[in-house]
Amino acid sequence: MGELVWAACVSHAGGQLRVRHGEQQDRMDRVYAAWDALRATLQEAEPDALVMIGTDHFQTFSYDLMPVFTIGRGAELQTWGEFGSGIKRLRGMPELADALHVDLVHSGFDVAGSADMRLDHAYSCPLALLTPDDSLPVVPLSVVAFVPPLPPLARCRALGISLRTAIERQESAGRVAIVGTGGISHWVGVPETGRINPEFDRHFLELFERSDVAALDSLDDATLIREAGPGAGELRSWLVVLGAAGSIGARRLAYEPVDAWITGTSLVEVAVT
Amino acid sequence: MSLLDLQRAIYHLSTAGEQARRPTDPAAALTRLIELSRSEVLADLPAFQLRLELEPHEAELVEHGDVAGMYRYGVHPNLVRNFAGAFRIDYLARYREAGL
Repeated sequence: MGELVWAACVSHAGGQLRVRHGEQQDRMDRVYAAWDALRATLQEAEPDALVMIGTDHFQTFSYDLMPVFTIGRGAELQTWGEFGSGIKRLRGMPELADALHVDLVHSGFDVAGSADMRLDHAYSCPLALLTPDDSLPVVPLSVVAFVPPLPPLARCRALGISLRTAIERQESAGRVAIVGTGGISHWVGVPETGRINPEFDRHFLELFERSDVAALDSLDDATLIREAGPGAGELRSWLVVLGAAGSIGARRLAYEPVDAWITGTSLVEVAVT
Repeated sequence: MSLLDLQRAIYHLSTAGEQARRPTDPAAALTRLIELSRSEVLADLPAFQLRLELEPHEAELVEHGDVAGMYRYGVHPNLVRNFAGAFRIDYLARYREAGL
């Protein structure tokens, strides 16, 4: 039987790797300090594997095939190496991935499985900061965040609840950690690129910290895109983690609007029931 | 008109490795991609087949690195961003120049 021992949500802005010094150094430093703190609690939790909820930015998936949910089942997971993270072959955990995949499908979530899922900065950037020694095997779970039809946030939180059950039912990894990556506000590839909306970000974080699931579930894409940019679609991964952790609260380690990273950057540790 | 094929081309050009993108100008890279898509060898390997049927004006968007034109045409912004990154194009500056 498995146990969920640690949960967190983090921004995956690649600028955190590429631009470590700049005009808003104080903000950057607070974010890096939060990464240090999160890394420490992850190590203390002594997980056997890390399930990462992220998205793909048209690196691995394209219009030729874009499943709503995809789990990476490979023993090795190659990264794309963006933002200077370097192309790596990370350790996967096929036995855990397979068990989760089967359980999720039987629970009513039509998750696709990929034997060779490459990982973009949604995974590689947080991993570079969270487990720089690549010591933990990773099971990635991709959630579509940019290309409609997008799964509703409530559906993502429900996926998280089923994921938690799947984690507890499997016997391949005794201690499992989970992290959701993305957000918060950012506009990329559009004329508004560079815009950040701290007002929305702080409001979202308040809802998330007190786990106001009714309010979070009701966030619609029109509001998200208008207030936080197309990049806010990535907050779906946060809802998956919240559902998995039990929706009992979270603790903000950092929130900083960093212009050089073009992202309202946040790290949150999520309480686990 | 095939926005899908244009986005397919942009996707492959953006995710190809450094060697596949040399020379680094978009026009040459697109030429190589189209040649590859018509390869008789790949025709025997359905899993690797790449179907590209670009209209002339669509090909021009890629050949000229016209990221503002791509955006206006309806190419997904993430694809535009990736293409710009692959070919070292400052897409935001180009957007500004185009009045976006």
